[in-house]
Amino acid sequence: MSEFEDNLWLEVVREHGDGLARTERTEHRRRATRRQLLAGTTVGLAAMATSAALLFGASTSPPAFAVTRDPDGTVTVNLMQPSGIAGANEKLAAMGVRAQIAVQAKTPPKLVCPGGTAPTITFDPASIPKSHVLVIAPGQPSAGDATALKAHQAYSNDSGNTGSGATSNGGDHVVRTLTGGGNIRIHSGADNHAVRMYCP
Amino acid sequence: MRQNLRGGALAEFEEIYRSNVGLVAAYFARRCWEPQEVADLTSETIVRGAGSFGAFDPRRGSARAWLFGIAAHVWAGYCAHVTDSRDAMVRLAGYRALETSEIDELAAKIDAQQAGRELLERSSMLSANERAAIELVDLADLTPKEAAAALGVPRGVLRMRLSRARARLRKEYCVDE
Repeated sequence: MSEFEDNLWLEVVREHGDGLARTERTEHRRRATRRQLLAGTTVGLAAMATSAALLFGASTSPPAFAVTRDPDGTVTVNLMQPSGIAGANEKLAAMGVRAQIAVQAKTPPKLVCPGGTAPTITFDPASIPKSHVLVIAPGQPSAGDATALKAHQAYSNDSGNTGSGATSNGGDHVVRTLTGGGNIRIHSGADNHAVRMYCP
Repeated sequence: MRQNLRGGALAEFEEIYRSNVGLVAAYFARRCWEPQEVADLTSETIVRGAGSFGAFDPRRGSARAWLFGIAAHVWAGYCAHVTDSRDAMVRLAGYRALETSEIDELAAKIDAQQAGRELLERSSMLSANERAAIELVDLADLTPKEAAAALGVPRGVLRMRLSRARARLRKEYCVDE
């Protein structure tokens, strides 16, 4: 993907990500009936299992991603391989979480932190304002900070304006408190929002 | 296999986007000289596609055909607007200005479409319908079936236009198929 194509995709996700995430294409509805029956079985089995990772890649290879609903309602995304981005996005959408990982050409070939762990981001879906979508764009580790990956998050609404966050005070918007680390905050009132995606 | 669960359309659209955005940009690069123009028209096509993806029905044609149908509409609207007011860029000014690296990238794409642009110019004696058929099949790499869907005509009509256009080009320029 070229830089232009990557940037255009980011725009599309910002402008239409929420709408697309809510889209149910009409032509698949009949076929979906059978699929939902099958999916229902899967969901039932999954509910009986632990509440750890909700979805992984192929069982014969290391999982490319994991999307986890935490007991406190937050959602944690672990991205082990760039190939897991599409699956993670699909899972986020299926979970009704208005957040998507944007793919960039500069996505490193391996998103594995020192020690073999995966870069992780945890956020509270309830803090994403309605009609907004949270965009997460993984990037190269920043110089001198091998344990961090840069990520950009942006809220945008249908008019393309920056969202004001879900909190009533309109101040900094706490998305997640990292274990042993600082808070990830999305700052209201700025055009661009950035957080660091830390290695666990 | 993708399931069409609620919200799954974003991942599906992303796949379509990544498979086709380069071809859509090339379609406009054959028509424009300015990278910003190519970027705006490509963006307009993709954004329209994202906005109407819920109505896309693969039974009526491939995603590529559907996107090229949108691109053709975008181009037609753009041309009409230019003819009317000569300020089409104002209409498309909602899109962001390109970074220098993106300008270079799209300028290279415009250069790369030189041969296609020449073919379109040589096709000026053809009707607009025949030219569209030639471009979609011979330049944009759509199958005749996809091209027919993109242009909203039956497959037989598309094949007839294609055959007639190729015959005329061959006669005029001795172009081998």
